[in-house]
Amino acid sequence: MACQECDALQRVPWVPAGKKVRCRGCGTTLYHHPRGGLDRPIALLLGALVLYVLANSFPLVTLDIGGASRETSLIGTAWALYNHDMKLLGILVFLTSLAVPGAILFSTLYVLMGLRLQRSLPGLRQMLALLSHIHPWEMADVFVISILVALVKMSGMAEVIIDAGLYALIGYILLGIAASASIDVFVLWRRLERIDHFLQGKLSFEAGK
Amino acid sequence: MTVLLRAKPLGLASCGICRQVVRLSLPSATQPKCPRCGGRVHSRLPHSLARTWAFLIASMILYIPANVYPVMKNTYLGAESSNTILSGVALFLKEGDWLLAFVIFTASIVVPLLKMVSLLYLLLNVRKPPVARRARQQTILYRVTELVGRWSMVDVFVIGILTALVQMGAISTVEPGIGAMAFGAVVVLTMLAAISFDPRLIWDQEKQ
Repeated sequence: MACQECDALQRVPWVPAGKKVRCRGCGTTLYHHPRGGLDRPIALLLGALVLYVLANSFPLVTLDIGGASRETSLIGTAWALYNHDMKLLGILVFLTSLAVPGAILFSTLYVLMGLRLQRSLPGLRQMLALLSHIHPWEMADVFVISILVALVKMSGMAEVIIDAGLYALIGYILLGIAASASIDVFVLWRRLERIDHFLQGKLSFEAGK
Repeated sequence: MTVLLRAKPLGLASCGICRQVVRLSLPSATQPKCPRCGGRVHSRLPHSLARTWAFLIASMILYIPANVYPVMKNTYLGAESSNTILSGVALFLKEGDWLLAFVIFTASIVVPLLKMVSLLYLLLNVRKPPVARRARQQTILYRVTELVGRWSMVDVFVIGILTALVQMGAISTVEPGIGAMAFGAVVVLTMLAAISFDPRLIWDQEKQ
């Protein structure tokens, strides 16, 4: 294995679950073997999926100034910017707070399910490849901090009501963090490789009969 | 301590997607593909330095309008006020919201500036032969720069949320300003710059 940060070549042992391997050159984590196999991240992500749907179907917060009230949701925030002559900014907010987190959630679940069922589902490789590059653009957690900042800012001049959507969003993020801690892309590729070998073996065996 | 071999001089490269080590054939027209995941394998990211420079310079230019123009226009009971990033922080300070001032100041001013400075530092030093210890520090600097970049989006999101919420007709409204657009672009460009930089270049000049 060659380190992604410093290119140092090294033989990497296969470590038991719960251990991680660091580069001898620069100390970067080369990979970690998460506990809980595939079942743990699948369970966590299914929970996150439910909360993600809830976070998108309810308003996040309501603002009340002297009887006039207004609420917003995830999509509402992007839409507001889009409608106020900030089309690009609206699209950026939509992508980072809603679309990319959703895409990561679905494709990770798809890949994990495929590996769990030992099937080579169509597009699984492409999705796994995408997953190793898309992560920096997921900003749902940054969004939550922003809501809190906006709420504190508003609390002086208006009554602020926190709605179901925000609780769901926070829960979704916590489950998402727990899930990504129990996933390592390198380990997933190794699993995929072994399944492929297994399937190929089976095919050639059947062809030989 | 044993001497570590780097992959590149041996004609090997690590796949950027699945970490498979691949033997690169001698300079040929065909782009080597990874046997495991099918992705293209590069020993170093192509045109890494040129791309990083381009994104970095673009973000530095846009950083000026992002700070000069107002990011938000606020109308409260008929009185109109517009704020730039810095005057927004000053407003929080005046109202005694130290924590908020700190959060916004860190996310919108310190983080983007630090990112630009550290990328600039890495770009300027990448050609110099490194001492092992300094190369290690630079790698850590790069990792932090890459990790922390997303948090600059806080201000953009806050503006979006306030725009969506504060539309109370005559009482109070919030409109995003052109500075917000420039600032959003700065965040995206600095992130692209950080992603384009290949940290393996830091180690390339090392003498055995």
